[in-house]
Amino acid sequence: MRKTDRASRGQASRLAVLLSVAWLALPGAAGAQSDPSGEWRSLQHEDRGERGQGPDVGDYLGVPINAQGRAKADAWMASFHELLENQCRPHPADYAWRGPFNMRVWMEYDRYTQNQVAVHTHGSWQQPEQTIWMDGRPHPPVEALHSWQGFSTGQWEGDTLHIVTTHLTEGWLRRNGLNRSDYTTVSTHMMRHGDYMTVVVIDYDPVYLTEPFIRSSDYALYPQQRLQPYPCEPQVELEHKPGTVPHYLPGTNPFLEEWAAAKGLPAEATRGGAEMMYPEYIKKMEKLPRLPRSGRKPDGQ
Amino acid sequence: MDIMQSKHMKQRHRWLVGLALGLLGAGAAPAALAAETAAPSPLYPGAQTAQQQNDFLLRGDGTLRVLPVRQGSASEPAIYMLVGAGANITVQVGINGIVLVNAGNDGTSDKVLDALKSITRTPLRRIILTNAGPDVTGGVKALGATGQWITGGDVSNLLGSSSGVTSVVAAQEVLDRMSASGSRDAAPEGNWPTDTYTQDNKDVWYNGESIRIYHARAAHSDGDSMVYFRHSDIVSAGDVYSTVRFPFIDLERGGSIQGSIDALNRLVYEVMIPGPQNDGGTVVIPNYGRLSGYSDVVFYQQMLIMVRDRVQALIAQKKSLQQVLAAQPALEFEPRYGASTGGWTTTDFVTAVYKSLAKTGQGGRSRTGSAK
Repeated sequence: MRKTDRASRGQASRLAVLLSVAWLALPGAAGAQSDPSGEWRSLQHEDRGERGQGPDVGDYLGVPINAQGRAKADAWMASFHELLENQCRPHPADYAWRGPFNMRVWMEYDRYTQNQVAVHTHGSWQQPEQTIWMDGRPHPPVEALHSWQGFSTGQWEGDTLHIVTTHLTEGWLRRNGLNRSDYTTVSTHMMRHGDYMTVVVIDYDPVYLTEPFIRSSDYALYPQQRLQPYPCEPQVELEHKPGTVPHYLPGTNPFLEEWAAAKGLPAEATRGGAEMMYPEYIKKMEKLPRLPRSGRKPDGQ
Repeated sequence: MDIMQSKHMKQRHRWLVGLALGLLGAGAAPAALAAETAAPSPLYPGAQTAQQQNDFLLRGDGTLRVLPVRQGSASEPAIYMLVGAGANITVQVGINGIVLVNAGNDGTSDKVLDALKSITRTPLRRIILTNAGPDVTGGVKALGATGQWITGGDVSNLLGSSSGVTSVVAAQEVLDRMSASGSRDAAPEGNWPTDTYTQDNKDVWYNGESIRIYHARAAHSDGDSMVYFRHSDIVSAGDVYSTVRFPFIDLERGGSIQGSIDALNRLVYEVMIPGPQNDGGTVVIPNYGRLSGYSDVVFYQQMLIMVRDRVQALIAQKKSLQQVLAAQPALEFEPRYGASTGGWTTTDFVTAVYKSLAKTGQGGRSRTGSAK
């Protein structure tokens, strides 16, 4: 290599370092944060079968539930949602990303320090709003009120916004009776890649899950979006006497194997549990007896 | 089981997060991955299981904690919850003084008084008791001795107020149980209620807001009261509702499963109104557990209805108590509200439901027809 080449490369290196230092000195650039602000539309392509009208009854595939979580889902009856007291429940903070959830994200800054105070999200269906506190405040005491969106704090890890949510009301993992408890802690990672954003949600529930449950959802930037209000007042759909709860008594739900039969799957493979989250289960599943195909088209597919 | 401590699970967990982020092509995967090699802090420090979390809320850590529930103003009362003196104590503070719901355990009154002094210098006027249990009534004498009840001069011979006297309100059954010799709830006279009621509701007005006391007959006991602060929109629900255990249905004190459901129905359909999208609105202070909203109470009510329906169906099949217990009619609720040791186990709860239904002849097809 010639001397002049080495010299010019050295100058280029020094210039790059200087430019980097200068860039880092710019306000707000040091953290390599990726501002999630904007109007976003939900892409809905992941796990398409359970978006829209929701998963089939008895489809617990890939959800690390325990026996109690399975029993709870087995008792579930769709008319549960006709109860007046249930109709205006929004999707909770961990499930909302999966629902009809076009959203707005905006940042809140302290006027004088220009420190980030909070990140806010507003969703379309049932208009849930989440505040993610970025100012280092602690979570509320254990006796404090829970809510559908819970209490969230966030911090930047590189350009990923990592959110921890506690104080959630009991909610659901899937819309077929698979619930998670109000003791759940949720870890959420928001990652923006240009005009797209990926949100990874991890549920830790000591009541119904034996392992963390992980899902991701994707969004595309949609500056033309104008979110509409979503008021909700319960109305009688079918008459249910106050103080009644539609549910199946243990062992009486006739639909639990319907989905497995529609898919020609082993019934056991649809019952959920941590084991079936992993690729090794495929080998085991191949040896299980399959239900004869019923010919019914599974919902949403 | 400490599910997050397992090395095997952590490896699986890392693998899953890595896969999820890898598939997404996320440039920040290493940072996120590092953050998720351990579970985020649980809601309750040091607690990993629901049972440990329940125990923390049931028994506390030996300290008395003051939780603001509603902020007051010059003309509106403030509401606080005191935790750690036995049953939770609701404190309403306003221009007239202090109204308490529950008096806590005997021996905790000094701490309660210190807590009250940290909130206000106004005098204690009334104590409302949600039932006859010693965790509710034990502190009445000591706290009441610091009070100043407002009476007419022809009652106390003192114009305006009586120092050292506090009005103690409860359902008549509470006095009956506390004053009966040989009763489980027999207590010194100084702890007895002074102002009892027998009707369905008793209404009082204090600190600029109306307070309606609902008599929940045959719920946890036959003398339960739920105290609704109408302007503040807060209910002290007593032992009718809990976030840390199955309802304590005390058959010996006149409690019943149907009465417990009726009381919860009253809360859900008559008293509580949720805010938009079922958040906010009326707040419930239970005797044990955390502050709760409409949906929390509805989940609890629905749980109790489902367990009742199942036990009814089993009784209709002529199942014995042992067979009912073996059928686990509260299975999915057990890891959240159940216990295998202590004063109120899952077995105790299911047994109480069974005996309560068998006693009243309510076995058979669900009364409500809600179960299939």
